[in-house]
Amino acid sequence: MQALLLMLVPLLPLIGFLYLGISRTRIGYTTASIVACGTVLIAFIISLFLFFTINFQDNTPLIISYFPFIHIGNINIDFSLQYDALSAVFLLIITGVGFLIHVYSTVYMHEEPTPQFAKYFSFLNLFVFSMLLLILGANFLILFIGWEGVGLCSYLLIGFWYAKTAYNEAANKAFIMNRVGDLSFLLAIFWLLLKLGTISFVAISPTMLSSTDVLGITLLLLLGATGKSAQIPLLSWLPDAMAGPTPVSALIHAATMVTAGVYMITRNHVLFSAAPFTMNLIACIGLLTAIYAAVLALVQNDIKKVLAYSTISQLGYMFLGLGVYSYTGAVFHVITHAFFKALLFLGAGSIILSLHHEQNIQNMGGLKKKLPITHICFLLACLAISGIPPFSGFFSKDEILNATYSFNPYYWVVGVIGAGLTAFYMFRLYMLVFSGSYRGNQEGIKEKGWVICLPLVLLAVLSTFGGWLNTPSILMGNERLAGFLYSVLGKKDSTVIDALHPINQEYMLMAISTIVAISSMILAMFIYSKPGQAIAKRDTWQKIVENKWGMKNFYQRTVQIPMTLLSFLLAQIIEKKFLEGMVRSVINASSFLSRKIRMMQNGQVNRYIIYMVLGIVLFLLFWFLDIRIYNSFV
Amino acid sequence: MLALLLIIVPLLFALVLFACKEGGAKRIAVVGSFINLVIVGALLLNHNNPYLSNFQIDWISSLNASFHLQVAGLGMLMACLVALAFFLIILFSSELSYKNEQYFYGLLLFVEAGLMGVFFAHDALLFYFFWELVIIPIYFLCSIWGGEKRIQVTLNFFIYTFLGSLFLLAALLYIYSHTPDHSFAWESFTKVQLSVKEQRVIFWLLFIALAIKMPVFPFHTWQPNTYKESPLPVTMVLSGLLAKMGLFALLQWVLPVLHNFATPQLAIILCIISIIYASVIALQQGDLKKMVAYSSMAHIGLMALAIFSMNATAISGASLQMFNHGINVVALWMIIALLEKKYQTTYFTNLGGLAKTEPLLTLFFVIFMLANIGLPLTNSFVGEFLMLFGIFSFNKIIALFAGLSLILSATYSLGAIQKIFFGNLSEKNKHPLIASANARWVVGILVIFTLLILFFGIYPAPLFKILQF
Repeated sequence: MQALLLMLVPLLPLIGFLYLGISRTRIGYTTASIVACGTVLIAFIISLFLFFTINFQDNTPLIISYFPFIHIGNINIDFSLQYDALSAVFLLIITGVGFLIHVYSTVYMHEEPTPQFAKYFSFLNLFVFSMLLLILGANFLILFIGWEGVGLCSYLLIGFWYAKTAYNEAANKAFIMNRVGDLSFLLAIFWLLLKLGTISFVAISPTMLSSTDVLGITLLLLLGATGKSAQIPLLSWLPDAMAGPTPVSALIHAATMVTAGVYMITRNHVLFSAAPFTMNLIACIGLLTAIYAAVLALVQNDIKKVLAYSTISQLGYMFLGLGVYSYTGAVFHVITHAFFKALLFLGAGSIILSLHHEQNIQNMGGLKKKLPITHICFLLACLAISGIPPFSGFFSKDEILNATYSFNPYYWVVGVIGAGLTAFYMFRLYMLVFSGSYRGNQEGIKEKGWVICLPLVLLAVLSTFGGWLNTPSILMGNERLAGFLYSVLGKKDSTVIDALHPINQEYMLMAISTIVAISSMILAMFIYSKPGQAIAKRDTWQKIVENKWGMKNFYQRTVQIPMTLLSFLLAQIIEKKFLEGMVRSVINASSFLSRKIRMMQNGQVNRYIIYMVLGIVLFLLFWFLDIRIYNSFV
Repeated sequence: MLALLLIIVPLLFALVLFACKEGGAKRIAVVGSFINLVIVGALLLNHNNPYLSNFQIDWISSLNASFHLQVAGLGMLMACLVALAFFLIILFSSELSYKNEQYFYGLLLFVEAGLMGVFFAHDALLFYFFWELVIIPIYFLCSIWGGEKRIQVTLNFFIYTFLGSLFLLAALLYIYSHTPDHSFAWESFTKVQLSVKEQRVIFWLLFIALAIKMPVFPFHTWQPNTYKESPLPVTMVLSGLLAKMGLFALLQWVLPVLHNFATPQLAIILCIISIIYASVIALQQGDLKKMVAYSSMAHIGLMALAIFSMNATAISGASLQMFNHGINVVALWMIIALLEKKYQTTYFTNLGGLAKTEPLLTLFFVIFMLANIGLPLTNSFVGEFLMLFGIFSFNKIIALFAGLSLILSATYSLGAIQKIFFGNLSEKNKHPLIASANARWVVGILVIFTLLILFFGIYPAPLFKILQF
């Protein structure tokens, strides 16, 4: 029963994908919407059912093998799914938030003609399938199938409006940059398979590996994770990925796919915890990315680009959490981030739709009254992401920062500065969009009905109260999430932290980060409250930042252009001139010889006689020499 | 007995075709290739029955060479590929029309007979006989029905192949002269004891012979032009099936002869160069045909590398991939054929935006390209996974270099999709000369390929089973 139900969770969206894909030219808007949303809804209901019926406190996860995938020699890899507390959490996020975004999309994509509409939903269903496979896979190979699958869907959806070359290039960039990470990921899988003979998650433990192996494997896995989760060095694809439809940005490039790296590292926390160097590197990458992206978010004028950089920055916080051994904190931030970032993107979508695809925040302003529901929801999300208590983001970010302090106080300082930047750019965005007076020239701006607003409201509720999931004990909470994940992650990491520094200090840290966030928020509100200052000046500072600290087109300069040159060199010089030239000269030589030989046979008998005599002489000569040589040996 | 039938049936049909008139040639050829497909199916079910799977009579008894056909794992898998591919290629070729088609199809069936012989031959001389037999009809097919530069290109191809055959013959004769019982039988070949030095010489002779066939850098310059200039059904046969002859010979006739022999580093390096060189060149091709040709060369290089790593897992991966690559590359050429027929060009600059007018072709092309870059749940992922894992066990750094092909192939494949199907549709291509929609059965063939790609990508177990025959 459980086996069937568990299989149905990813299978339903797959069926939806196949149905929509095959009959996309024959079905209308209603059928497509019902199939797409229905399959995800049922998957969500099953996930809820499993969540409430399975006892997670056993230490053995539910693992079900369905059929053999690769069985050859001593490699035995099955198509098997694993269900435990960690997958349960992700399952609920993906199907739950996924369902809301599906519903939202039915209105957002309604301008498309039917085949395109159905195609969009088939891709979206395929994405949900791949993502569920990624989360449910019981071994690295199944996870990798999902991993590449979500990359494919991301590619397909970024380039959904295929007539625009820039969009296609963004899609290609996303796929190819992810492939770099994927290669690294694949090598890590090989390394594990070579040393352990298995790649099932339950069988992987660092005790059977040398410390070099653990270091090598975790570093390779980390590079893979940075690709999918848009961390340094593989992050530049995510801002470009905003070319896709906005609900896609909400689902794939904010709530779910980009957290796959966090999931993968959490899933293998035993391995990572045994590699202190890698853990420190994860923390550094996370911090650096969080700050770097936050600074870039300060100057963006495209509403989606602000949110994209904000996502990268928040993912940096999750990585920071992982690096400082606060796996629960990272997962907690994944959850709250899924709520408020999905809400921000859907809110942005509502704005974009109302403004007929205007995305420049310099042309917005004063939308507070025109889009009241969107405004309230967006504001709640801004408060949540900025870490203002008692909204959800406060609790998850605080948990990470708390753990960071006990890991390394300097990291904590940087983390708090990042939190201040977050509050600043979010309220810059909020002010430019909602306050002041409208600077655009569109008429009749209004919200597009309850289908758009309902997901916003639900997500706003979750963003507001999501912190309740894991309220720390010092705030009279009961740390539900940590308790729930206990069976997977082992020790409750916060208890360790409690032992490390006194409760007073914890209050103090909390107070400082809150003050920083609130004051940045007020600063931003003050600066951007006057309409005159809303139009940002392009000073030197801004130019440096817009140039991405000189990192703009970094890969284009270091990889793409040299590659093109190399390709040209090989194809035009080595291949054409050298190799083919050589072959041609061989052919020419042989045809030259054949011409000469042909000339010998010109029908003149006296010539033939000369050849004959020459031949006989040569033959005798050889015969004579042959005997001489033979004799000299004998 | 069935193995013999697999050779005789296409030969008989070829003879019938040579004798008949142009009219019904297509149908006869389709029937012939279909019968062979059925026989392969029967053979699959009866591979344990020695009466049906084995055939041996005296041939040239003075040389101890016998006409011995035997069905074994890899040969069987290749026979499946050959029968399946020929049936689909011939069926598809009806979409393209050729002059004197009775000869065209006759020669194609001739090739099929030769290939079956190559994959079943259990005697070195017989193997060589079929190896040469395959080339003759190919030569005529290319030089009669090829593109504008066919004469020059075919000459080039022929000289290369001829040279390779000389090396092959020399190596086989040398091994033959050292067999304990002076026999061409496969078993005698495996019992040969050669010194390390002799093995080295033999290895290089065979390497050159087979590297030309596969092809591996730097013996590949015949390949892109030949693929481009040949009539497309022949290109499908060349890249999908003939390229596998070299790999097959490596596994069947080279590795078993060598004992305690480590692959020379140079051979491994040439394979790596082959993979990266071809992938990098594919990046800047302006012609889809040449891009697929170089892409195919990169894939073959990976398979050769896997075999040379002498790692059992890598070799199973390569064997699997020989089948899967055959399926994928034939499917890709079919799309190219359809594009060329409709738009009279395969150059990227003349295409673009076709997704709007050709949604089905776009769908299939994307699926085949994704299979080409080894996306999980497509057939080639399993093979590539095993090959790269085996190579990784052999040497981590080499695996990293081989793995770069994953990134490069994604780059040129997605680039091709973009340049042909996305972006803006040109005015000229809005109204192509042949405006008709693709026939239903053409779509059917493409669906079959898609199903094969997905089925063996999700459930490769049947292929593993055949390999163990």
